[in-house]
Amino acid sequence: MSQARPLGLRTAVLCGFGLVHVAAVLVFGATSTQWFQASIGNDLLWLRLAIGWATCQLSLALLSAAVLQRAARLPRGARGRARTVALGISAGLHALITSTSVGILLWAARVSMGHVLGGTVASLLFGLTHLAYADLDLSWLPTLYETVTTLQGLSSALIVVLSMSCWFLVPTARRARFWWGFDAVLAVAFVLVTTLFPISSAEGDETSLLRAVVRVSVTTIFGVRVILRLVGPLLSLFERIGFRSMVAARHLRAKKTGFLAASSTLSILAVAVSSCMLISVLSVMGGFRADLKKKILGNHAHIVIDKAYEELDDWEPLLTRTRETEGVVGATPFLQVEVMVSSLSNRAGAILRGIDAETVSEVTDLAQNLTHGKLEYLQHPERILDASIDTTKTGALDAMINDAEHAAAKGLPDETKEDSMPGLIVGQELARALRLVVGDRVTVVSPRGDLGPTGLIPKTRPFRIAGIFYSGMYEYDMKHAYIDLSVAQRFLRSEGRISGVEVKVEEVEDAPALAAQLASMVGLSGLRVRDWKMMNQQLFGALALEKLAMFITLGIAVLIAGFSVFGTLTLLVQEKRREVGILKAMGTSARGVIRIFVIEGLLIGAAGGLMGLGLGFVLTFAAEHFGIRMNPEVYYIDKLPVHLDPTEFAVVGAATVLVCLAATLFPAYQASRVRPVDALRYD
Amino acid sequence: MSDPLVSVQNVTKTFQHEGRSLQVLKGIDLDIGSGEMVTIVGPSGAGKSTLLHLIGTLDLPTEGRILYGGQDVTRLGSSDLAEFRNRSIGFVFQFHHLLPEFTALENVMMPGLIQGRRRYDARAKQLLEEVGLSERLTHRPGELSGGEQQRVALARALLMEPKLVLADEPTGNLDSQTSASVHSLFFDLNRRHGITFLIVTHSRDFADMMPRRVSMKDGRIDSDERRAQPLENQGKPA
Ligand SMILES: Nc1ncnc2c1ncn2[C@@H]1O[C@H](COP(=O)(O)OP(=O)(O)O)[C@@H](O)[C@H]1O
Ligand SMILES: [Mg+2]
Repeated sequence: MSQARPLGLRTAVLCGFGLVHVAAVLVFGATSTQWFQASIGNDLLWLRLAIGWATCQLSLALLSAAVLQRAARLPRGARGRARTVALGISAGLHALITSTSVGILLWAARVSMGHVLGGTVASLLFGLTHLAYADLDLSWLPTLYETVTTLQGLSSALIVVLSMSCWFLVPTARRARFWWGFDAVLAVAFVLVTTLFPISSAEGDETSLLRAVVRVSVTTIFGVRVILRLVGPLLSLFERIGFRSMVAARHLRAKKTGFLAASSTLSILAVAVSSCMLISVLSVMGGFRADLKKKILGNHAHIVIDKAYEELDDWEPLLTRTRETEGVVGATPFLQVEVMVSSLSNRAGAILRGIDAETVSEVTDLAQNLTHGKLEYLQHPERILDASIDTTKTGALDAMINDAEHAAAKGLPDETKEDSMPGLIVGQELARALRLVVGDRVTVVSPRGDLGPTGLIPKTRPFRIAGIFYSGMYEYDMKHAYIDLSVAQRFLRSEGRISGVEVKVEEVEDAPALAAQLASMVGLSGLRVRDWKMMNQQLFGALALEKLAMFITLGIAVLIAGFSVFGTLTLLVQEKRREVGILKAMGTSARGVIRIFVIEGLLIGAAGGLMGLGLGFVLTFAAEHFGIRMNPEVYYIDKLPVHLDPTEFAVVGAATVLVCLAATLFPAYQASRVRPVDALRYD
Repeated sequence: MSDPLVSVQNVTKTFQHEGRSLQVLKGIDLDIGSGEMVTIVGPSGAGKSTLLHLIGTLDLPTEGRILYGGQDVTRLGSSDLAEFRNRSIGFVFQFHHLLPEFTALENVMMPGLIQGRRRYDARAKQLLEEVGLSERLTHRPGELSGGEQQRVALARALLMEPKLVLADEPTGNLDSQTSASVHSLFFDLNRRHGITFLIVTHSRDFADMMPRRVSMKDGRIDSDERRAQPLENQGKPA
């Protein structure tokens, strides 16, 4: 080849190196905290990192110099010369900025070598300004640092853009060869990760998490490449459907003039981004709803049978009949009243629930939610002390007290022992507010007291903390306390009576129907039967409304993407006016022309929509399986909940296609109005 | 004489241009019989292309009727017209007007594709062979020379076995040698298949060869001469 090739090997290497470099910056930036923590005090690791970094910068600088020297030899005005020069300059500047700033920061931090290695370089590399400068009295450094970071960010973006545009200077055949190689490697990698790596990570295991992330990333890239490879054959297949799809597919395949090419790429991206956003947000909101539902269903019964203002007297037959009803998994009685719980340090109001420890697990997740203690302690409070000595880590003093109490309890006759200090289970937040641990003693004040000379005297009784639960709902963890049902009946002077029956059903969505059935069964005894949906109507209603509002807001984003499809098609119709004229002269009807352009718009929409949904799926899948940590102090959940709902994907896809369809109608109509005479007359 | 293939009766065409009306055709009467080869000559701006478009139903006359076998096509609805054009008329324009995204073969098949499911592969290939392009089936218009493009356009015009082929300066931007070969192709097709041609041309040589010559001037038909000695086979019923 005698013809001058603007893109030599060096530029290609610089392209690749620049991209990899930028990717490395992003990855390190995102995981800087881990790196920092892993190597704090590990001077050797930091030294290695710094040396590696410096080598990167140096080679980047050398490469850019080589490329510049080469580009300078190209004739002025040669295709790609400007791009190559720009790439060389920006890569060189990037290297220069980085190395200079590293130098300055090293000098500034020369006070302590350990500091340099452990802090400053780290901060420069990974954006931990606050950590590095905490004990450096150099107020100008952060400013310098921020400037440098901004410059680096800008030049990184430049390098990415320029590298990609330089990539198109490579001859097509060579690019195709590259992609074949790339795909081959990718296919091998895909097979490897699929056979070797797990799809989701084991809890808390960093390596398996990393492997799962690698597997999902490789699978995603592989999927993208497969789809890209399939686009051509698929379009060819599509062309065979008929004349209209054939013309539409050819129009889309044809090399377009600059602006239209940019516009159609942008509109596909706009559709993709907006639908991805929509589906991700909906999935997260669905996740919140599912999380809430799970928590509500775990802590509450699916159906509650009670009386509005009274307690139930003769409840045993009701319980048996409920249990025998088809669809019911379990039923348990409860007695509930509002009390005051006071510890040595504090006091708080709570809902005290007497529960049947034997059957409560049939209905709620209380047993699983216990983070400390055991459910059986409610019936055998004497075991609390046996266990608490070795399980609860307390100070020497506490241990002594425990020992003493333990010894005292042992000396008492069985019955007194059981009755003297029954167990109480409280929520995590209540425990925190009252500063309680398992084995502690609290006093519960009941409003149902004895009648004294001055009126009602509240009844008090000491309890021992038998367990602490965490339900994930702040309200619940703050307000609920459980004791044994028989203890509650005695304490609350409701011998033989209960507040109601809690029921668990097989299929939660059937709860309303089953509730109606139970209501007809219990008849007119003044009982009311409520299901979980009814009891949490407002909460779920608010969530549904919020989700709808979100759908509408983000739907508007999709709508705006629709506008860009509209613009692209209008341009396309302009560009294809003459061809529409030819087609009409050859006997294409106006409807046929409309359909051609509608199909084109739909193809654009479908491409964008599929991309968006695919990306959304990968994002939500990753979020669901790898988890995005959240601050539990703020949100009361530790992981961003995500729920993938196939119907939502279908709805978002349908909405996207509908919007694109609407966007095509007017341009398509315009195309159908093109008069062949006008289009053909003068060129 | 039996019914002519096309009968143009008292057709006028008026364009509105910047508020003024401009009468381009001022009452045209013309009958073309089946299998005839007719050329329209005349100075630029005489209204030749306009007349051709009207006959080809690409535009509607302001007044007058255009009859195909006794049927007034000016009264047809737009989709019926499209259908009619597809089946009965073939066009060849000065600038070939091929579809750039399609290969030569696909361009030739296009009228058949528009019409429906039937594939016209074999016929299209045969036509391309007839115009001498059997080696260029998969070339795009951009990869063909001007003469070749015009041949493809001719093959396309013939695909549906139309009653009438309209050609507007088909050799207007070809060199004389290429023009001559395209011209002889027209005669060849007329002789072999009895196809009716109506050709607008500025080429004196070509016009002289044609059996019937209609001269237009200023929106009117100036003269309508038939050659004393018609070419062999001329006027043969289709
Ligand atoms: N759409 C139009 N609007 C206004 N004037 C037109 C239009 N189309 C054609 N004309 C005019 O009609 C006249 C005849 O045009 P045409 O039929 O193309 O002539 P020619 O005989 O050269 O083919 C020209 O003067 C042209 O300016
Ligand atoms: Mg003309």
